[in-house]
Amino acid sequence: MVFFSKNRVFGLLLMVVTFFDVYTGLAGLFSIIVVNVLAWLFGLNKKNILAGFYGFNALLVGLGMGIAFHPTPAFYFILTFISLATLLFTLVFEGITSKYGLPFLTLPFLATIWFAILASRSYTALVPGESGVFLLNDLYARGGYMLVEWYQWFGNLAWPLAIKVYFRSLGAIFFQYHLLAGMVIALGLLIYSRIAFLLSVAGFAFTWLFYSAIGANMHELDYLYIGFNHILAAIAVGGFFVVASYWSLIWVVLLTPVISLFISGSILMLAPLQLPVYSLPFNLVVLLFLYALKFRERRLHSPETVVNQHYSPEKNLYLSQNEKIRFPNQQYLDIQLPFFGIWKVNQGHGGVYTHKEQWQHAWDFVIRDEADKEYDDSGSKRTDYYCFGKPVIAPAAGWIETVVDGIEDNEPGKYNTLNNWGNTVIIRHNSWLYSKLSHLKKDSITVSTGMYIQKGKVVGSCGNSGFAAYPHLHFQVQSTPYIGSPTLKYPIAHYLVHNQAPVLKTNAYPGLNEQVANIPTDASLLAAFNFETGHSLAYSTDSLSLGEGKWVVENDLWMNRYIVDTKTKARAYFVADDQLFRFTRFEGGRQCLLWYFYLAAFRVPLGFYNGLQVNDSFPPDVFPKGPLLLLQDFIAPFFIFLKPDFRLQYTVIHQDLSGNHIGLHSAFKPGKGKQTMLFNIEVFNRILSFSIQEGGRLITANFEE
Amino acid sequence: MEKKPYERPHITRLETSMPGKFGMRSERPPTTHIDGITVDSLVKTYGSPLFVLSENTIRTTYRKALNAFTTRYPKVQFAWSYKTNYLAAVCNVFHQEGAWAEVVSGFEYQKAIENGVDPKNIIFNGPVKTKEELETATRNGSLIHIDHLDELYLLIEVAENSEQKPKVAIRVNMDTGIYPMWDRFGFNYEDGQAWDALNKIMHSGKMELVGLHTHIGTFILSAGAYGVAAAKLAELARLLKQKFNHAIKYIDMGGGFASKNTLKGSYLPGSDTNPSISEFAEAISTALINSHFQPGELPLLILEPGRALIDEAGYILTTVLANKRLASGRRATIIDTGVNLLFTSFWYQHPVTVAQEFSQYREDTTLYGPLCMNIDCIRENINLPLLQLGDKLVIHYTGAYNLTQWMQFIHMRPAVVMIDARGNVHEVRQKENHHHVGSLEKLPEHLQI
Repeated sequence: MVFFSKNRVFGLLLMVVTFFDVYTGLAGLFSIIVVNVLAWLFGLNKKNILAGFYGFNALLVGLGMGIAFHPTPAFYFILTFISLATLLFTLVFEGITSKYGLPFLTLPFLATIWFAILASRSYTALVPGESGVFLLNDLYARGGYMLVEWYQWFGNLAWPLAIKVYFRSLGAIFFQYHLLAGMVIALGLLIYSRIAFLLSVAGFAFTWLFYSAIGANMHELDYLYIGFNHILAAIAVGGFFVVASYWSLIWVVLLTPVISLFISGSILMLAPLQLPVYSLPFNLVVLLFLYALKFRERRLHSPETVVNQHYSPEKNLYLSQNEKIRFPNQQYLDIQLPFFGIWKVNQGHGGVYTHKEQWQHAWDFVIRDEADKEYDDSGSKRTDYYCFGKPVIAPAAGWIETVVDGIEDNEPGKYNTLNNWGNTVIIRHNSWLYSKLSHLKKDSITVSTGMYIQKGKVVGSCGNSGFAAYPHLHFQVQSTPYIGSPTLKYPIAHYLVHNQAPVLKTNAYPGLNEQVANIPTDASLLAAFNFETGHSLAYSTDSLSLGEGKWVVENDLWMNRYIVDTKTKARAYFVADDQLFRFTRFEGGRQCLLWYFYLAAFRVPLGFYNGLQVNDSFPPDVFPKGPLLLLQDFIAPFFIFLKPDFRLQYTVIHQDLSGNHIGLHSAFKPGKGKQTMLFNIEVFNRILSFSIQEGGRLITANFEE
Repeated sequence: MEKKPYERPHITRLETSMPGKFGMRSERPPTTHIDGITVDSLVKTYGSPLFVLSENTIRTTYRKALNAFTTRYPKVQFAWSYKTNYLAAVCNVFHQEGAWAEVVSGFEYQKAIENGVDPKNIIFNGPVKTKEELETATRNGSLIHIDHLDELYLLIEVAENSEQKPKVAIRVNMDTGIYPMWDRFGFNYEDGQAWDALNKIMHSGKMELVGLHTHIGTFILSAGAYGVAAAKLAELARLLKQKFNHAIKYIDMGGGFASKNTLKGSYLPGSDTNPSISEFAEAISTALINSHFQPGELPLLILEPGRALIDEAGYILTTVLANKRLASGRRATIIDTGVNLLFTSFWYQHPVTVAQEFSQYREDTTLYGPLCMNIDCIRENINLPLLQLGDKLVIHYTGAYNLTQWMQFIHMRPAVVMIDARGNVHEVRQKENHHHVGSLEKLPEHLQI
């Protein structure tokens, strides 16, 4: 948590570091235990307790106190209450900062330890420790002459000062001011995240350069080791709270002098009280920066703030990038096309006739035949037009806001400029989203103001009333409820384009001359991919390594749903509605069937369309672990060269009224010389079987409900 | 300049008055080509008479009809009515377009299987199904539409001895406000037979009730009747949902949609007055959408149009064999197509056009077929140019029923060709010869001479 990590290996290494000084480590551990027990007795959220949400500030407090005092019973007695104070401060800071959508970082630690240090000066039962002062004595006491020798060997290494200071600064975070601690932490950091390591080095290097160039007080770095503030801030701003990129790196550089300003300033400010500044500058600069980011109008871009925190700069980067590729224009409320069958976009967004300026984000739909004609016979009568009189349906559920009816339909070629929108229905989907259907046929509207309408229910028929020379359906989304309101750029959630072979579009805008249709959902696919929470699925494979097991569908506090493999505890997060099933991320070990299923069913449209091909992109970290992925991690903020690919094709086995038998053939192409994996999922109201072909190896899995 | 063809002398009354309320007499232009192929070359290659089918017309008619429904209703499936025309070539054009098969006998069922239709996509209709046929259909998972209680009991018996549950629907007949009301097929809606049969099916527990079927009649000239029928089936579905919490998978509205043919006794031509497929689609889908079904729960809508999909794609090419004058002074023309090939001429006034250019002069005539039977009359009264021996005529809208109801009576049945979308002509049924006809006959020994 101090390093923004939930990585276990890293955590273990950090624990080892804190125990370099056994009593300091014990004090840290003691504080954590006390705080977590208190938190539990207090009735705080268990998941937060287990995630170390309340513990990490206490750890720092414990370490800070442990290094300053001898481990007498009195010390532990006092430490208990200091820990309580830490917990209270933690809750207060959580309450305050969360209102602004900000983290509380190590503010509780700072507040508590300052009070504790000041107060302990008057507690005579406490014996000040000397480990910070007479280090060699302590070392000799614990490890004999060997340890002292070893320590001095480290100290005498002819490394450049900057590198030594870097390691010492890392160690200083855990009150361990020596090289070895720093090196272990650096190693842990590298294991946890290549980007974080890179940022720590870069952040420190900029600081060193800045201090040298400006002639600042070098002692802040090479004596007080206060440079860790720069390192932590670099990780926070460069890749943790902000998605790592050129931009985040530029901000790391720009904030370096600011941190140094805070360091020098706060040292002097706290000097009268003889208090160390600890991580105050880091806290200040990160909170200031994150808060300031919220005022941007150009949200989410350069640098982009992390919305879903995955506790790893790599994941934050890869998943946010992947999300941008996979789900651009994702909205909260899905809008479908307001008609049955295939219609053609006659005028799209920014059209040449009337979709201009404030009203540019609208569509006109007509029906064309194979010869691309809009009408049968001569086209001189309204009824000659294919679209005339066809049902118009609600694009999403909502309340009928306005109904205009009774305006005559025009003869082809004529138009009505007096009531230019013609017969119109406006539906309120929520307080900021309305859809408008215009030029409807006179007396065809079957809904009335105020009534609730379900998605897909008929509201009226396509007509030719208003400013419409030829029958067509005008459809627009708007954020205000009036006839004539400006349009809102809002995507259609899922649809098929039929100009050639059907192409699936998600959250896109139908373009001019596209033949579009809603996706007819397939009941068999829908039932098979209906992973409700609590649902469990037993599998058996013919592979020794994958074996047998069970999947269970669960959801977390934020209602993110995932499939968990009960044996390995691996999780595959997914999002599903009645049109599309897609996995969003995978967590845990890859030696399980779930991993392959995650790759195989990365994106599955739930409407069957023979021959439909679906493409998608995986985040780079699904690439097999190895030097290439390691290299990718290092350069990820600047360039992504691993682009694993997903492809899916449907074949029908046969149509059946009790459910279609459908075969899903998908492929995972890691690229860069790695072998493509082929998958085959057979579906008949549930997932019948799943096979994996990797190189010459074929694995088949069968499922039971 | 080309030499003008000889036309026999004739006398026409000079009309100088104003045109009648229907304006000038309508004339059909000659049909010299079908889908780009000359009538002359077709007759020269395949003989006369000749059945010609246009694949292009079949496909466009099919797509247009399907679009009329899919732009009004979310889930639509057509099933090709085999009895209308079960030539393998015709069936497979429809199957390629995505149609299922609707059969009414074991023979047609067999044909559908041979055409490569998935048995699960065969609808087995009709008043008679043998036990063996029911067993086969059950085993194959075909959709069995029950016509009467005896069939229901027989099917329960079949189901008891079968591993699979038969997938069934019942055929429902009802008053939709039109005459005649067909009540000989299926169970009646108004007197509760249908609801009773549905209860028997549900309580038997031996069958999977998947749908409801009706077929209100044939060549229906009122689209509104289909709206009434759809609403009544939807009501049955609602009752099933309410009483048994059972959702049916489909509603089959049958067929019976009028083609462009003109019924005998009609005052105006059928192409102008008969409801279009759009009107039928509008009536059916509006009734279903406005019924109790929620948008996501709308059942599959199955339709079994026959005539409306194929009538206009069929032509008969025929040759003038003789001209004669009747005792009444009326003109008569004998052609080589009779009611043996054009069964539908009993109720339609099929449009007949000439296949070559003529002058503007016309004469009322009667078209007789080649049979030595008094009933063999194709058109009692038709206005045609001055026909010569050997002239070719084209009879239109003959695709439905004639290729299944034609008879080998007096004459052999001619060849059938299909012109594909690229203009290639394929012979899809050979001309019969006397070997074909005689091959099944057996002559008892004592009768041999």
